[in-house]
Amino acid sequence: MGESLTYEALKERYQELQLRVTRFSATEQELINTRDRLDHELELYKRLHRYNELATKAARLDGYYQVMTEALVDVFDLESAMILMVDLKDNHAKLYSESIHIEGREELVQQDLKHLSQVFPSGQTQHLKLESFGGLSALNVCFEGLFFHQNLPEFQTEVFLVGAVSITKAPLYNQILDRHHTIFKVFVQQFLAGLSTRIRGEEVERQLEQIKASQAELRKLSLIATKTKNGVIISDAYGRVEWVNEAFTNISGFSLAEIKGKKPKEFLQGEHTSDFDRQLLKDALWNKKDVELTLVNYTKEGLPYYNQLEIISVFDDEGHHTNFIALQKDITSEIKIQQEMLRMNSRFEMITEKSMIGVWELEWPDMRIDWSDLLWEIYGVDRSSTTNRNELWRSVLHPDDKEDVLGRLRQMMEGEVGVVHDEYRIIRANDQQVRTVECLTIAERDERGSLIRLVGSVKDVTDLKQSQNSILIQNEELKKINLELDNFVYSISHDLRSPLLSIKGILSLLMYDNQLTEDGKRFLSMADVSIGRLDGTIQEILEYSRNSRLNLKPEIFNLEEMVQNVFDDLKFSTVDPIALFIHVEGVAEVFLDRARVNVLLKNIIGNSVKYKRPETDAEIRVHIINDPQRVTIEIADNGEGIAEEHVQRIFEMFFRGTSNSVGTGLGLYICKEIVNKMNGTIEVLSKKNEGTQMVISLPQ
Amino acid sequence: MKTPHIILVDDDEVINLVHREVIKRIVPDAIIDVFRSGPQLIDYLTQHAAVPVDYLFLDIRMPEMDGFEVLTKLKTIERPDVKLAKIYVLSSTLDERDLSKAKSDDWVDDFIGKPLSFQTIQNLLITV
Repeated sequence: MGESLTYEALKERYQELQLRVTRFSATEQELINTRDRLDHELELYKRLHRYNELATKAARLDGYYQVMTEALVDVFDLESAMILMVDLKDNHAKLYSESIHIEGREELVQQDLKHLSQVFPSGQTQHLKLESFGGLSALNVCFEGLFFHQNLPEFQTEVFLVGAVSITKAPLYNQILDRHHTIFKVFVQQFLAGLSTRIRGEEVERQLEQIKASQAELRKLSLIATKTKNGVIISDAYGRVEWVNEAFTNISGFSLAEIKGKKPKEFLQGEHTSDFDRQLLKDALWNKKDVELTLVNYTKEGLPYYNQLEIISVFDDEGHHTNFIALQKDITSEIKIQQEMLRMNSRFEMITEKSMIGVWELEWPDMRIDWSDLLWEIYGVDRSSTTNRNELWRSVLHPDDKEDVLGRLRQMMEGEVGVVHDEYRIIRANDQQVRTVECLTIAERDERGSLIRLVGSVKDVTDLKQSQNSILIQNEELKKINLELDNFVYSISHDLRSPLLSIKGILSLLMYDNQLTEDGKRFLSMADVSIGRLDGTIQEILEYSRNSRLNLKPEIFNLEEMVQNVFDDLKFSTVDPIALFIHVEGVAEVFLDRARVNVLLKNIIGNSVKYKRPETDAEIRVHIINDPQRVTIEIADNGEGIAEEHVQRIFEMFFRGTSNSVGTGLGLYICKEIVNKMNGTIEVLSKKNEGTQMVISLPQ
Repeated sequence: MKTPHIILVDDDEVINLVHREVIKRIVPDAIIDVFRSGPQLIDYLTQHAAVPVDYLFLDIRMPEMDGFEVLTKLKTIERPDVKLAKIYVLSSTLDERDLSKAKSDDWVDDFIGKPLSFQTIQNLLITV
């Protein structure tokens, strides 16, 4: 065995060893503590890293602030946190919070933060301790916390970060150690870096959107400028044309190529462009004022047109004048319509004035009444009268007509009647003469049927009425005279015929008694023939007089029957037989002047009967063609016929073909006159010893 | 055949005579009364109810009362024989209005132009 130690030495060595052990365990503890601290820091950094990832994912600034506020609480184990962002452009503030209710207390929070920013310098992270800053009222008097604020002029933003533990909750939270502060610095650096990235991103995005929007706007604008029917000129700041649209070219005839770089006044203005308008335009352009005017411009061909012009000055964002935009509208047709209306209006006024028609207008319901010059004269009212026109009019109304007139007017205004024709008497104010006026009143209504205005015309028809009346009286007299004449003619013919017919009767008695010599019988029959002729003459004169005097009186009758009756009456006047054949095309009913057609048939068929040839089987063929517009009557016989040289003359007055003819020479003349009166035609075809054909054509 | 009672009304004496003679030659036993005006006829018919009338020949144009007025008056007289009698309007008128007026009157049997011929009388009186 070696050296043996003494107790003392052992004890000393033991104590030394124990001290070492103690030191060692302190070191061990230190090591443990250091490890724990490092672990904790690592944990904090991990958290920080996690939030960084989250923040990176937050695309928008808004989301970023929110994530960072949460991070502040979580990373540093704080009770609550807030981030305030102030936009320095408009002083607009936005507050983000975590684990603390700040609704309604935003103002207070902002004041607290502003206060802190005044205590601590910008851009430095701070470890807040109650004793060093006196607490924050908004955070229930904060016990301990972290604070940072900085003005970021490049983003025109000021940011405030604060995380804190309140006094009441302090025992539950770890103290903020200095090492937290280091991480807080890192946090703030990361926060600022992320913020600047996002703000820049947002800015870029906004610009992109703006570009997109302005591109769309530009597209729309250029589409409008291209498609509009109004002419568009865009010129530079000096007024030189840069661009024109198609409509401008259509209006003016100038294409862009022809006028690019020129000033519009050089090619648009001309002889009739007024100096006043030129000056107005010049001043406006010089002062870069927007202007609207209508002036005379000229097309490429030199044709003038009315140009309704609007010029707008365009400035860029910096306020520099860059362009003029001129909008043009060719309003020549509108102006012409306007001028035409003015002309028509003055023509209308002239017409009413010349035709002595007074015109008035009443606006409803304010009863504003306008009278034309002539109306004052018609009513005989003094123009200087201050009485209301409605009263003036009422005052001239004839007392006997007043009630009716006002009644009709009221009816019109209340009811659906649009137009009232009226005639009434007035007592002219200046000479107290009773005059008759004819009035037309028209009510104008809106789409709901409410009265808007009344317009009316008034014409003094007193003189017209008087002359109308006298014409009526004359007409009545004329009718009476005509009737008297008619009666007179009938009476005369009756009185002439009566004795003649008595003689005819006496002759018939003598012949019946048959007590006469042969000569006596011969003379008697001669007398009978003479009487017949005289009677025929009287009848013809009557027919002639009737035809020339009386108007046509068409009626419906059966023409075939009439032919038959006329023939039946006539056939007894002859001893030799004669045959009638009638053929009708279409219906037998015609629409003609019955009495006149009867005379025509009596004369023509009468001739056929009179001038038949005894040696042949006499016949008359009547052919009627009844068209809706026209009746044609062909009457053909196989009688004596008419000598060629006479054919053209048979319709002459008193013309007699042969000395054996028994007529007066009036019959066919009357026929011709009747046909003329009826707007028809009569033609004759005849051959001596073969027969005669008459063709009568009458419109119906 | 019974003896016909015939009345002639006309203001013209000559034509009355002619007509009377014409009728007599065809119907010798006829009773013929002649009146020169409407009132005379009406007086006769209202006061002398004697022989029933068979035929009445009536002129239109007469003074005092024309043929149509006479017809109107006749219609008011209570005489069945007159109502049954053949009434002929006899005239030398050429006025269409007279003709159509006569033809449209349902008491008028026919319109005959003057003078009465033997043929007409034959047709009217004998063939009946």
